[in-house]
Amino acid sequence: MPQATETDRTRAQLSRLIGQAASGDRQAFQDIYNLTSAKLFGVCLRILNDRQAAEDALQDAYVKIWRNAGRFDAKRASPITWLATIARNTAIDRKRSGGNRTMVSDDVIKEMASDEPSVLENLEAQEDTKVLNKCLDSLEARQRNVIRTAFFEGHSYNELAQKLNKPLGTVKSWVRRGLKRLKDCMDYG
Amino acid sequence: MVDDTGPLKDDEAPDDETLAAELVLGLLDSEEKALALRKQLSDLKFAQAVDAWNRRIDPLFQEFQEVEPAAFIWDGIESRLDAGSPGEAVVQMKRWRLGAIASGALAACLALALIVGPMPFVTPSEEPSVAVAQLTGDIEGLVLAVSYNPETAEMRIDVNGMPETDTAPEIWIVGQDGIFRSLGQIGRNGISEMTVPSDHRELINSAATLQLTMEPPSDTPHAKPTGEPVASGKVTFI
Repeated sequence: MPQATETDRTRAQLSRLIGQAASGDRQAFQDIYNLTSAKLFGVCLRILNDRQAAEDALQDAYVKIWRNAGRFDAKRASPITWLATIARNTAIDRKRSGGNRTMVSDDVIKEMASDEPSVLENLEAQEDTKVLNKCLDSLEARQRNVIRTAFFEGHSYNELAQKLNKPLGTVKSWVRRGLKRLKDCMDYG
Repeated sequence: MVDDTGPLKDDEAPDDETLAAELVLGLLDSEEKALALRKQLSDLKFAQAVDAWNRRIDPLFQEFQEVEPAAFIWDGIESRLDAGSPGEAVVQMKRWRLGAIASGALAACLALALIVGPMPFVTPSEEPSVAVAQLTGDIEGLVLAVSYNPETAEMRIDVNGMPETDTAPEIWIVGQDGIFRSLGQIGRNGISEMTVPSDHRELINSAATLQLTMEPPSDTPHAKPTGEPVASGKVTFI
C-alpha cells in the first residue's frame, strides 16, 4: 500500500470536515475555514484584484459552502477544488455584477498570468498536474497565455479582448484552438 | 482538422465541448452563460463534458497563492450563518436527534432552519410534526429546501441557485410505486408556498422523494415529466 502523502491526509481531513459541516457542525465549519481561507482568499483576490471586493466575495463563498456542504461529493472532486471552485465562481459573479470593477489596475497581480512555467509550491506535482502542464506547454504561447489569464483572472471573452487590445474574434480563436489542443493532448497524450 | 489560421467571427457558435470549457473557465458573459447553464440542466452529455473540463483544469488551483484574510472576515461569515436561523437551537435539536436522523436529513433540517427563520423548536417529548427535504442535483449551487406541514397540507419551498432557463421548475412527489405526481410549478427563486392537493397528501411520507424537473411553463401541473430530474431529495419527518 502506498504511503499516504500530506496531500492525501489533508484531503481526507477536509472531506470529513465538510461532511460534519453538512450536518450542522459549526466547529467543523470553522476548522474548514481555518484550513482553507488563505487559499480561497488568494483565489478571490486574484480574480477581483481589490481587497475589499475579495473580502466580500470570500464571505459570500463561505456562506455558500456552509449551505451547500451536503452537496459535496468526494468522488467527483477533491475537497479543496470544490471549495476553491465555489470561491472562484463567487468572485467571478461579483466581478461581472460590479460593472466598472472589471477593468482594474494590474499592480497586485502583474506577474501572475505571465508566460512563465508554473511554479508549484509545497505540493508534489501529481500525475494530473504533470499532464496538464505538459499539455499547456505544448500550446502556442499566445493560446496558453490567454487560457491561463482567463482562468486566473476570471475574465470573459470581452474583457480579455479589451485587456489584450485585440479583436474579439481573434481572442476567441486563440482560446478555442488552445482548448481543443489542450483536450486532445490531455485525453490522448 | 481545425483551421488554425484566421480569427473566428465574433458570434461563431462553439461546439459543445468548447462551450463546456468556456463555461468552466468563466469566459461567457451573462447571456451566453445563462444559455450554457440551461444546457447543463437539460443535456446530460453536456453536463458530463463540464465535469470533465473541471477535472482537466483542477491542478491549476494549486497555483493560486495563499493570502491570509483579516480576522474580522470570519466574524462576518459567522454572523451570516446566524442570520435568520435559530442558531443554537439547531445544535440542541441535533444533539438529541443525532442517533435517530441520518446526516442528510440533518442537512435538510438545517437548511430549513436557515430559510424559515426563528421558529418554535420541538422538544424531545413532542411528536414529529413537520416533513422536510433538501433537493440537490448536479447543478452547482442549486438547492431547494422544502418543508411540509401535514396538519395544514402547506408546503413551502425555498429555491436557491436556479440558473436562467426558458423552462419552469416543477415539483413532483414520487412514492414507493415510483410514479411521478406533479405538485405544480414553483417560483424560480426564493420561497414558494402551496397547498398540496388532497389526493397527493398521503404520498408525503418517509418513503417518498421530491423531484424537480424543468418543464414548459404551464398553469396546471403536467401529467408526466418530460426530462430527467435536476434535483431530488428524500422526505424526512422531524
